[in-house]
Amino acid sequence: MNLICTGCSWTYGVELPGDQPYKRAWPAHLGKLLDMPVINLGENSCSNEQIVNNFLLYASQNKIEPGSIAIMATTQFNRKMGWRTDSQNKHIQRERSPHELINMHRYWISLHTSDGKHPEVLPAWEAYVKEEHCETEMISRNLMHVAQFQLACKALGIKHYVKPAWCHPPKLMKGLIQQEILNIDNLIDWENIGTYPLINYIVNEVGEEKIWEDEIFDAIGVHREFDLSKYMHDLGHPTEEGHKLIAEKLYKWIKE
Amino acid sequence: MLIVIGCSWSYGNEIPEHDCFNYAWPVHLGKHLNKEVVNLAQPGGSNENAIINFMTFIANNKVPADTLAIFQTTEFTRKAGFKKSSIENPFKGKLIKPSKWVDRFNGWLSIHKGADEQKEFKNSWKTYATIQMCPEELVHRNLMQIYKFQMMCKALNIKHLTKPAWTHPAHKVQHIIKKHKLLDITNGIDWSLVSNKLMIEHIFDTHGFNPNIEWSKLEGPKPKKYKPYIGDQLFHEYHPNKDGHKIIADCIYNELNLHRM
Repeated sequence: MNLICTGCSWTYGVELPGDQPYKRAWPAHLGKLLDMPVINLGENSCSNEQIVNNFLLYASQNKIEPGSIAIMATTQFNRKMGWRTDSQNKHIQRERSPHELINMHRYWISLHTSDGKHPEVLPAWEAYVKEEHCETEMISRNLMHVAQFQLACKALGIKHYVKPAWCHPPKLMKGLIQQEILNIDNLIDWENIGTYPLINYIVNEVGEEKIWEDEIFDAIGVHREFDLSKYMHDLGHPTEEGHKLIAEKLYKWIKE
Repeated sequence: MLIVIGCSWSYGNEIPEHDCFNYAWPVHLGKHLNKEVVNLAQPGGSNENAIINFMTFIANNKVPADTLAIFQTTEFTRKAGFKKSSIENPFKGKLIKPSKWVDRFNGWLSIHKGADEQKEFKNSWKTYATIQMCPEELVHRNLMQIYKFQMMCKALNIKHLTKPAWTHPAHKVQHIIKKHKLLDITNGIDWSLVSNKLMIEHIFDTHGFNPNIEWSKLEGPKPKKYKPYIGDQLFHEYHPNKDGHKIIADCIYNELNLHRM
């Protein structure tokens, strides 16, 4: 039985010190609380499609035992999976991966990383933003990934939870799709999706009330007026204290 | 219920009747199986579009017990893209739709170069084809759709079969990702439920035609090329005619019998 956590930088543990941040990120702490070995499939800067694909890649190459738990920590909806063609010949490993099946810079990446890590995909990112990107597209595409994750878990016979990390909570965004033909709400098991993002555990801890209904597109910026330094690093990721707090709250949620 | 997802080969393109899907192979197979047919085929659609159509349908409809879903796979170069203007300026499709859950003109479309909508996706297609497309990308992305289809069917207790239409048979091209550990999802796929015989091969067989195609490569074929060898009675320019669709339905029916479905 394993605790399998798939997500973005928030699951990987970006900004935590050391070259193996995932060993101090929330999945590690939650694994201790649940007394389960942890498989961390967190990938820095990835999209929700990659988050699901990483999970499926793991599932295809490993036996997943009954009793395992899978958690998908969703990320920004505007991230979109793209392919890094020149990854065939270059093996750049700038960050150590939490799992042998995760590689931050080869094959599939998120096109939004064209602003720094992968400038070669900038034209593809620009084309997507100009020609396809809109609220309906983002929500439709990302909710499909949530549904695919849940159904994959159901097929594998394991418990599953979805929790947004720091923005774009699926539960608060689903109502924004008006077109019947794009609506897959009924395919999603909303009971097992946390309403508010992991970042809310932190901002609630410092005394802020939730303000998500009106601020869903700018999560981190909104909370800058509060002193989050105990729980948050400068670039917007949790400190180890923040990760511990998240793990404790997730543990309580899972047990409930 | 028989749910079919796929591209023009399931929609019935080139059949002259306006409601061409009523003459395509899913209808004949539905009769063989005595099942109500839900044809979610999208002409010009990608394999990603097929999965989107499947998800949209099952999200909004009751799927009876003993439902069978068939995923007719299409060429791997097609890629789903979103037609942004359809949100601001929706209009009705020109073709009759086999199901209200499929829309060829709005929302999710294929950005492949043959699609009518190319102008909308000019740069999306260009940057995909020039910056991203390669054999590993194509095979991994498309096999992932098969894997997801099988997982969803398993979760929902839907019997399923995946059948390639005229190119890119999953069985024959899987070797392209098998050598890459970070891409290899082949062990997740139930290959016994992925047909290794293409629909176009059933038509070749009927004509005793053996074109010697190397299916393990991603280059071809172009169905039009085989027209002189397989005759008018089975094939239009790119797609089966009414008799061709009947042969395909018969062959899939036999295949399903082997699986006791």
